Amino acid sequence: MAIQITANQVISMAPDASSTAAGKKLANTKHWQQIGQNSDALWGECQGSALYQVRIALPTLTIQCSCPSRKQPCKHGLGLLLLAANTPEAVPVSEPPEWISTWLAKRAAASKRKETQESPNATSSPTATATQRKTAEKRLAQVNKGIELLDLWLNDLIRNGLGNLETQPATFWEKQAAQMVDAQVAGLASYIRRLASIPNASPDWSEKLLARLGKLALLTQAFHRMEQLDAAMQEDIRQLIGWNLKEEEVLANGEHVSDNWLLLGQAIEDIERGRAQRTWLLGTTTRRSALLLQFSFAGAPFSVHHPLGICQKAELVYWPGVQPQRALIATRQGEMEQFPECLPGVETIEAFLDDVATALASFPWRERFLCTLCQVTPVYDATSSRWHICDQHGQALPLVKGEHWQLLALSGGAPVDFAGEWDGEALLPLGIVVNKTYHIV
Amino acid sequence: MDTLVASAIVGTGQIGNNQLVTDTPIDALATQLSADNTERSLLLTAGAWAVYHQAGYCAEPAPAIPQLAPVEVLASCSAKAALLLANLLQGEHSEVLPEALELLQKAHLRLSHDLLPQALAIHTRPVHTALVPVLGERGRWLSQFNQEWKWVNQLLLEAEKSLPANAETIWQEGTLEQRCMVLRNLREIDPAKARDWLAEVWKQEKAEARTAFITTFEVKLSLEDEPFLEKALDDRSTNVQAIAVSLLARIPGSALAQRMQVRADAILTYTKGKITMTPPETIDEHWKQDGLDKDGAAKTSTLQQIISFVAPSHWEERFGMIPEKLISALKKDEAPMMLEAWSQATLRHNTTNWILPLLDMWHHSFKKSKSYTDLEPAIQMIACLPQQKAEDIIAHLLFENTHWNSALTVLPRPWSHKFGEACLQALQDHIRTLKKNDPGYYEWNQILDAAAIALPESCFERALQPWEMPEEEKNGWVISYWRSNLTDFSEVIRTRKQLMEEII
Repeated sequence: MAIQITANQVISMAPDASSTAAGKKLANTKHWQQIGQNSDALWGECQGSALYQVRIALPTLTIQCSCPSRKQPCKHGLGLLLLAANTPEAVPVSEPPEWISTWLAKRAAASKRKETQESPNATSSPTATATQRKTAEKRLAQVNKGIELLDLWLNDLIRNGLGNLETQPATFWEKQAAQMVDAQVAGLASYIRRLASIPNASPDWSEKLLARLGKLALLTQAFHRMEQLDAAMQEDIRQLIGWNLKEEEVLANGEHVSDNWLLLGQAIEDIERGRAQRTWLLGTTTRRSALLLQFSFAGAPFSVHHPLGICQKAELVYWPGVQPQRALIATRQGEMEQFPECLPGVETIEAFLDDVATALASFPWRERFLCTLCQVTPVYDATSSRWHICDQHGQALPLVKGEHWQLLALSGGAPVDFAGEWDGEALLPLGIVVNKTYHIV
Repeated sequence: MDTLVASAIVGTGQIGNNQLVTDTPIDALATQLSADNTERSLLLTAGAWAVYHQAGYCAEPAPAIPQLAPVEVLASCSAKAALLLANLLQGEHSEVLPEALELLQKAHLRLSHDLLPQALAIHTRPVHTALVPVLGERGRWLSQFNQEWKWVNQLLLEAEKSLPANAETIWQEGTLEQRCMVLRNLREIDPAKARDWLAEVWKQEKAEARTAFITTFEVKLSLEDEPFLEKALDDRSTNVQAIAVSLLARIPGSALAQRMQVRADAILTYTKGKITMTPPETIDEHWKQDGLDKDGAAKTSTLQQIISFVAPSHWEERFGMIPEKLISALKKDEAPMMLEAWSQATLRHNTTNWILPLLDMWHHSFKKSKSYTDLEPAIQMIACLPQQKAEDIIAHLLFENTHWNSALTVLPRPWSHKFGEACLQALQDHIRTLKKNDPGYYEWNQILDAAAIALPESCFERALQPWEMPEEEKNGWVISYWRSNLTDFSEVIRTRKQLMEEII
């Protein structure tokens, strides 16, 4: 089967516009030789200043090129993918040349090595465990100290009044965040950084800020009473505060779920010194949602490209917690599946909000939810310039500020299946199903 | 909750241990908190309330759902074509966009729905005209929701050449652009009524509006418009006056046309096989009213202006000669300015039999001219010719002097195979024998750009084959300049080729 990818998906992988343009120029058979693909890879040789060998592993679309470009992926990789997307017949299924088969063999060996490295965690030597315990104790002491400082700071804010915060410079928040970084509680640090944008941003900002501060207080309160919480909740609290789990720890301790996963869409957000990417997945059988998180810093591209609007049979592993949401793809199983003609979702906004309430009841710090609604209508109100998603029962949820003309153009006022990200205030559209086809918006 | 927020804003330091009530079940929970730390209690209560509030989020009542978009009549373009079109709409090779839209229209296809927001957001007026037929029902439906997209509806009405039901309201209350559109359409249907509408408001309108409105008289212009236009000759605005003069001059038998003819007859005389210009000795009473320079009766520009208003056929009758003879009877020093005056008159009165003789003269005088010459009137005349004739003329002019390259822009596209081949040949000859510093590089590159979007399909194969170029060592920049231009050229051709293959 030929590779399933659209030109738009390829373009979304490009690190910048000039790479896209250069890639498009190379998407022509005249630049290529020894071009081919099989179920594991796509390959070709491109004549640039020298002859460059481009290797693309499927289905992760990991691109490796022998050119010296620092851009990732480089124009040669993009060019080959664009060629495969636009003119599949130009990339015949064939036997891989030696430079591809050795590369694939090496990759397989590397991932096997990783797997075998991951398993013997349990049987580490007693001395190592002792050092580990010591480090952990040291860190806990630091965290305790940090949280103590945070509690004092929070109390001070309330004692002096939130009204005073209106005139505080950004450094006011940053100083507190830096203190949290020093105390090794990075989760709390980024929570505080996000508070900085609330004052003066809306008429009811003080209420919003108080709500956020209150939730932060609930979190430190939960930390103080950690021993009273069950193990899953403890995991959640530790992650929120800043204990990061390594991938192998997630693989070892997280819940493994196999399903046909729909890759519904992506949101990218600027964070301190970089970007965070949230990719939303939905299991067609389990109906479970999953969030793949990726970070990139200093303008670097995200390390893994997730093609969107596809259905992939895979085993996911969730980060441990009460209501697991964040996940990683442990193994992709086989080729991509046909995307379903309608989305697994609820029919009414009421039902969706009920699900949100239930989720919040078991884990009150949940910030974002995947929302899949069936047979809802995107509506634009010109007088208020506001966008809504309306269900068949006369209820509506607002969309995030911005222009959502694509939704209206595709739906034409008719009900559609909709996927979006709900942050408690507004929906960020990810995609809709129109005429049995899923469109990323 | 309000008291809780108020306490938090003012600060517990100021307000003391106020009652922390939210009027929700949270209050019962809050009583379990220890009382010794007011700040902490407030924070935890607020936190619990926030989650309570979030979990109890209520959906809004849905706003009015718009009417369903009508079912499409045309089929959508293919997915591959949509991809190509998306690139063009994003500005890549946007010069090909009008052709692509035309192809869609000819194939009875429309833009796919996902392309519509991008297409509607385009600001270029000529592209709008090409877009309207391929927007489909969905595009027209979508355009009603965005003020910036109102041009769709306006163009649709214009194309119908009919009046909307609320035409009179638009005429009274609409924007200048909308009012012009209504007036123009009304002129098509009922010029007398259009005149009445305009006469009613004429005095109250600003100069800008009067200028715009009077321009609509070009639609179905007739002798019946004369009284109105005569009055406009006294308009305070010189723009309005100038347009009125020009319109009246185009009405055969109008008083102004006759006045101009009388003046012109006094200026041009034919003696001893030569046409001579003599400035008038007196100026008549209508001189200023007809937009002529009172102090410049002797100025050549005024003479030129008068001649340009008179239909060229008048001279054939008056001197009993065909255009070729008339042109060759001009005196050498007066020929260039007469050439311009007659060219303008030819364009104004649409006198086709004068175009070829005049162009011939343009060609000769341009060859001899050492100073800059504005070729615009000549190029406009070429635009009036049928395609094949225009191509023949341009081929003749262009390959002798590349300064004629701007004439290519008025040729209908695609060019004929013959003309396309001739252009390719000339370009390939030029590039094969590039000279140091390539003195004509700018003009030749403009010809290449014009060819990229105008070559017919039958020339693509030749255009896409490798072009012969001199050795690289010499004239480094010239070679890389042309190499890069040719890359762009073949990309445009390739894009057009793909479009033609995909849009069928």
